[in-house]
Amino acid sequence: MDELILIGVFLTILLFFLGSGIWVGISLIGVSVVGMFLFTSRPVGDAMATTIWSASSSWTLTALPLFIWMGEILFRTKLSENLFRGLAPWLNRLPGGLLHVNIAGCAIFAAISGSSAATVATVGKMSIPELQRRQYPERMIIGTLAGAGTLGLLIPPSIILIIYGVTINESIAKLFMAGVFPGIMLALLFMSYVVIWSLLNRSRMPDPDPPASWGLKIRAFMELAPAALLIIAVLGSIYLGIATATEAAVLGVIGAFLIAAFQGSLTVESFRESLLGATRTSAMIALILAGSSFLSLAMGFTGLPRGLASWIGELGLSPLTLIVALTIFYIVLGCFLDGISAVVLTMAVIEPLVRQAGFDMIWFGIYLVVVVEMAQITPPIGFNLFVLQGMTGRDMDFIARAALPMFGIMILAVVVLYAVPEVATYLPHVMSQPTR
Amino acid sequence: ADKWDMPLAYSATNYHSENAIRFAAAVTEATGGALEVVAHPSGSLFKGDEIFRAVRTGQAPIGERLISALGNEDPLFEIDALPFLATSFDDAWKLYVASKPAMQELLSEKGLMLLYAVPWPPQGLYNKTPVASAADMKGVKFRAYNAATSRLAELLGAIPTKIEASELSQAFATGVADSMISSGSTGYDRKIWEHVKYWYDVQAWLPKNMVIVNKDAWNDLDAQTQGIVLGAAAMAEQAGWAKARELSDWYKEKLAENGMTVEGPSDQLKADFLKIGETMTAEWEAKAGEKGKAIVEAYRAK
Amino acid sequence: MTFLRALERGLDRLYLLSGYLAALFLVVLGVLIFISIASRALGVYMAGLTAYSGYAMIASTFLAFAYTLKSDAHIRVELFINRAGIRLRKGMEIWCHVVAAGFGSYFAFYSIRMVWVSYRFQERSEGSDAILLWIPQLAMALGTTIFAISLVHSLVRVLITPAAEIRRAPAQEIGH
Ligand code: NA
Ligand code: NA
Repeated sequence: MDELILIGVFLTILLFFLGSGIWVGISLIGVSVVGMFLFTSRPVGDAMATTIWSASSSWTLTALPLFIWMGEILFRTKLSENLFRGLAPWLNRLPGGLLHVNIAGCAIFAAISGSSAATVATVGKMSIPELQRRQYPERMIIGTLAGAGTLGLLIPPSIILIIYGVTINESIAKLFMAGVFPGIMLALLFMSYVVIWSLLNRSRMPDPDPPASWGLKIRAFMELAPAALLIIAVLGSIYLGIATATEAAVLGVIGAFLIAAFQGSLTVESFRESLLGATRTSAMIALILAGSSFLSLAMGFTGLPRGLASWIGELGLSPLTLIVALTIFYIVLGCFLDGISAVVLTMAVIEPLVRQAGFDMIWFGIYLVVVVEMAQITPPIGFNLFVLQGMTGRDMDFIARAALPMFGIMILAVVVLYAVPEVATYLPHVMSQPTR
Repeated sequence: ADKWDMPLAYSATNYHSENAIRFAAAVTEATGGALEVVAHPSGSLFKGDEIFRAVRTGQAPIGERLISALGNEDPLFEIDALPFLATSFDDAWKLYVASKPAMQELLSEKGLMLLYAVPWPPQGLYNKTPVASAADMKGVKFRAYNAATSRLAELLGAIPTKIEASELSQAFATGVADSMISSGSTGYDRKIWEHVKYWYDVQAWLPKNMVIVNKDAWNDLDAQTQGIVLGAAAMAEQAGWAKARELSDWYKEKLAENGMTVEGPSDQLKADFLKIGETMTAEWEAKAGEKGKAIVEAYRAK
Repeated sequence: MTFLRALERGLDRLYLLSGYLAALFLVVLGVLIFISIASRALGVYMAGLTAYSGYAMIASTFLAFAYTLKSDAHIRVELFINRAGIRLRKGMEIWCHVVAAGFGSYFAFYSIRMVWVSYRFQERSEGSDAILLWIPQLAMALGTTIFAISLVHSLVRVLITPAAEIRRAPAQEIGH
């Protein structure tokens, strides 16, 4: 099969580039250049420039640097302590203690942010130093963050659900509703894992703080006010029709500045630092996105993803085997592509296949998001891993191993989603009733 | 054997893409694989706004693009999106015939060749509340995505509001927009009936997609292959226009089935729109110069 | 030697300057998006805001490529390179920098070429900004060119540094 040879060549070159230590974005550009020279007759460099220009100047991405900037500002406010003082008394006595703050924090931020990397960056910025100071095991800090950060894609607003909805002509409003319960479910699964792990590894967990009185708990709750106001500013502005999902990020930046000013942490120096920090992180992500958009083009020219997808189609599988096969397919693809590219490149062939097998397309969208979410935490190309590498300075293999259990939990979530599709379909179904 | 990658902006199930995919298959088969045309729908190769450049510079030998999107390149490209100039399939065909020579010349100057063009279903007026005349559009938040739609809103007394295609459903759901002019297919694809209840079949204009070839790639083909491609293109054009007519009614049925009020415009609304159309055509003629004027005259003379 | 040192100081200043310019464009991006919300609230249509936001974003990221490289904030897989011995490590660093400088220059070359083609065809944006595309594209060409220069600069640095002195750069915290 030609596809197998193609995969082999792409994989070998990419793994060699990445493994030898070449910067990720450059490696992606490199493997695409080599792949296109080998397998197509098109002008490589011109096509590269066209694609990267348009992908990197795309309006839908503008929310990303702004959300990163928001995170940088919030990092320099007391919001980090607020969030901890707010969530800690409530979650402290759970087995696993403040690790749950990581997951709850990501779930909360997912309701502001449409992307997974931005959620990890924003929440991690606040929680990594706090958890490290309390001597939680490094592996669990990183693992829970990597996993829970993917909630940014599942809990609305979500960039990838918008792209999926537009690609296959399904209601984005319904897709957003469909993501709510699976998002909460996944968060609860992550928390259950933390509970079980900490019960089995008591010796590696720090001693919990003494239990908090109800008075303290209520006062702690008030600490969450700034975060809550920010969510209201961002989500509220979207649902009240003041701003679109892309534009709302700037209200997050303004909200963050207001919080900083109110708490007295807004100085010329903190402004400068937050701005330059956001610029660096955005540039880092932009170089990788540029490379990844070019790799998508190179693969599109070789026809590899489409070839693979149609090959799966020819096997004539039952619904269950189809889902199993698709899951494996997207996990493998997700090792090398970002979720958005994986969806865009394959939906043309996958959509008729899935419709023919009788799946609800809203349900399939949620399934797809969970599956491509896994791509965020699988090496060698996993955005959450890169962000965490940038934030902790740990090795990629350490971070990937830390995230591995979360990968298993997401597979479990796919199983639950398959067995009980109502988790995804109930809410949009209820929502569509009165319109008829 | 030659291989032509053919980027398409719209999803594989859109009738323009289906038509192009059939065209690609027909060429591949008729040439016995000597020229293999591979369609790449959903913007999976190049996105909509990259395709014109990609074909022009030879990054892709062939591709499909919405003609009126190229209005910034030359006003002539906007002719099939002039509001209320050609308001039926028959008129749209006449306008196409009248504008084709100028269009071919223009494309030729840019190193391109026109293979075929297929219209979208007529553009109707979507609104959250009933519309009996242009006065009902006063102060309504009207979706604008380019200079022309913004000007149209202005002439209607509506408030132009910038909404990108990707945010259409959300904008209507959250009240960022109340109204827009678009084809029945947009409303059907986005399930717009969840948020908007009225659709008026005003047939404001019938924009077209065109399939273009890079002239260098074209000249590399032998005469026999060129003949096969032209034959397949003529067939695709015919099939595309027929399909557009058929779907136009189908979309109307689907909008009605999903609880929308689907009506023709009132006489007053029609008259108001025609007046706006004349204003905008005159403004366009001023921009497009003699060539543009001549096309409109030729079209009106038919 | 003094000339080389002056050259190096000049280059470092160039990276920093383009980094500051990028940061300025991030502010511009925020302002543009805010105007887009405000203009809608006021019922005014501002042509081309969407496109200008995109241009501001690409300027704010691409102009910062070199500065980000100098801050060691671009991501790479350091699993093997960190475990290599002194000599192998220098070899690997040379390999990485040669490949990166090569593809970086390729990237810069075709970005410049894109600007040139857009200029020659007088290509206009399809958006309502209707701007001549070569103007915003300059940011991409400039950003990738400075990035390519910084990669070549780093390569030269690696080549002239004794193997024993090439150590793992200290981990940079994002936003540090
Ligand atoms: Na989200
Ligand atoms: Na991955």
